[in-house]
Amino acid sequence: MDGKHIVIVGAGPAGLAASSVLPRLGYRVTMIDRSNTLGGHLSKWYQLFPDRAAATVLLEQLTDEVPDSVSTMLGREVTGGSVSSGAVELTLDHGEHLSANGLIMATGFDLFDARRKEEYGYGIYDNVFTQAEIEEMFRQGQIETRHHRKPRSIAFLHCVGSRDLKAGVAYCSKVCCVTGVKQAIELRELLPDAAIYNFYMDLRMFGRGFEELYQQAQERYNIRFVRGRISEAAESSDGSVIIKAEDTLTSRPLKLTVDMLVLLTGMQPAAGSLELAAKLGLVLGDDSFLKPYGLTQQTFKTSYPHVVLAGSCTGPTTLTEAILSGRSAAMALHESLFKLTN
Amino acid sequence: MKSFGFQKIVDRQIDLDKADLSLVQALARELTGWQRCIGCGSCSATCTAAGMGSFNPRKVQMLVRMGQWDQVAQEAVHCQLCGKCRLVCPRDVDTRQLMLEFKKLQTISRP
Ligand SMILES: Cc1cc2nc3c(=O)[nH]c(=O)nc-3n(C[C@H](O)[C@H](O)[C@H](O)COP(=O)(O)OP(=O)(O)OC[C@H]3O[C@@H](n4cnc5c(N)ncnc54)[C@H](O)[C@@H]3O)c2cc1C
Ligand code: SF4
Ligand code: SF4
Ligand code: SF4
Repeated sequence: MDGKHIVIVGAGPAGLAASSVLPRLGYRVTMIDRSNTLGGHLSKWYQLFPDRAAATVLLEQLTDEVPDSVSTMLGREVTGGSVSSGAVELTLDHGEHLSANGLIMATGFDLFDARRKEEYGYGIYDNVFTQAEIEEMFRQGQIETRHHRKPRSIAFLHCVGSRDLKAGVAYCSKVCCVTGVKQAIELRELLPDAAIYNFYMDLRMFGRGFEELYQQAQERYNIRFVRGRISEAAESSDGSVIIKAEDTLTSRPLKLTVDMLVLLTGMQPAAGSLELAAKLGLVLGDDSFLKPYGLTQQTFKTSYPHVVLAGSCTGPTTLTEAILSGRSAAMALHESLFKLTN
Repeated sequence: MKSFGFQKIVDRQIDLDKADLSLVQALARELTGWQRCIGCGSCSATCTAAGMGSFNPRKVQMLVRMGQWDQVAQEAVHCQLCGKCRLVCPRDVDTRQLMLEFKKLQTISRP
């Protein structure tokens, strides 16, 4: 093999999966991530849906599979570059340049900034949290309100910054429904006596084992599901949160006071990825995620034969999908580089 | 004591075979956006009038789709046109404007 150089931008699950494939096919691989740790968002989660597998174990498996020959640059951001026929030039944040024969974009997603939905009071009221903060509390093994008290009641709100035209987001973020159900169950185990609610518009339990998890949440874990979107939240003098919704199934307005309100925030393209896409000449969809050649077939391909897309930079994905697409994108890149030279 | 006698049974069934859905089409020509409603209930939760009685703007949205115009007209009277529903709708539906339109329906069909 001629040792062509491939750069992978992003060392999340998708980037890691891609980097485990390419060296074995004879490529020289550089993987860059602006964070100081490997694993992207996976490194922030505690237990995974639907089977509550430990996130640390998966992360370890993914990093173990990366051959030593991969050169990993952490704490470095790709800020610009250009793509020409057969070559890719990338610029990093410290002004360095990298040349490559092929590029894998695995820049992933960012969580929607919950402060943008002011009516829910995130960043204003003490006891409004995001699901990412709850994952962190699980990792620390301690669930408590901002005033260090054990919560007696907790409400999850689905679809925050997803399916919301007012927030400029039309799409569904796909994983937050099952995450909300998973977290409700995990909370129940830590707080046997608490009242736990999920306020939803639709419950999208598409994956294997997801609907079963929902059923367990109802039957075994006594989670109360309310079909209605919370319209607004207010803070009471003791720091609890008063929420308003309609229970659409009984057609009655509803008021509830909870010790914690947890917002299930959606996914959006990673910061800077729009600018980077513009510089590299990559196409964005109406949802601002990178747009592949096809949505059914060729979901890794771009208009350049030597640039491919992997993971949630193309829209909300599960880990399963991110990992599979990382491997598939690597193979797709190999095929087209092989075709280019043979 | 058991009471005997006749009782009038009100048929609650929505008869989609008989419902007048032509008005839905007419409405679609007049106003846009309401078709996007997903029945989330945010409007009903925040509605000024809903807090005080049985009025429910989400339900009105649903009755429209089912061609239940009599009920739509009866309900719309209660709207106070405050516009709060518009602020909270995730699908950017102008419920207030719809209600305004349905109030006219009332005056036309029941002089
Ligand atoms: C709360 C929550 C819980 C979840 N739990 C589960 C679960 O239990 N099971 C499951 O299957 N899925 C879960 N998911 C989904 C899962 O997190 C994603 O599918 C997965 O992280 C996507 O991997 P990725 O590599 O595409 O992106 P990411 O994980 O976002 O990684 C992308 C990486 O790219 C880096 N990057 C971005 N731009 C640049 C740049 N310009 N230069 C350098 N580096 C850059 C970032 O720093 C990041 O490390 C969850 C999601 C959320 C929000
Ligand atoms: S997965 Fe569920 S919570 Fe997330 S955006 Fe879709 S419907 Fe809403
Ligand atoms: S807030 Fe909007 S989407 Fe929700 S029920 Fe009302 S009109 Fe429909
Ligand atoms: S405009 Fe009418 S329907 Fe909308 S919130 Fe006000 S009273 Fe309710």
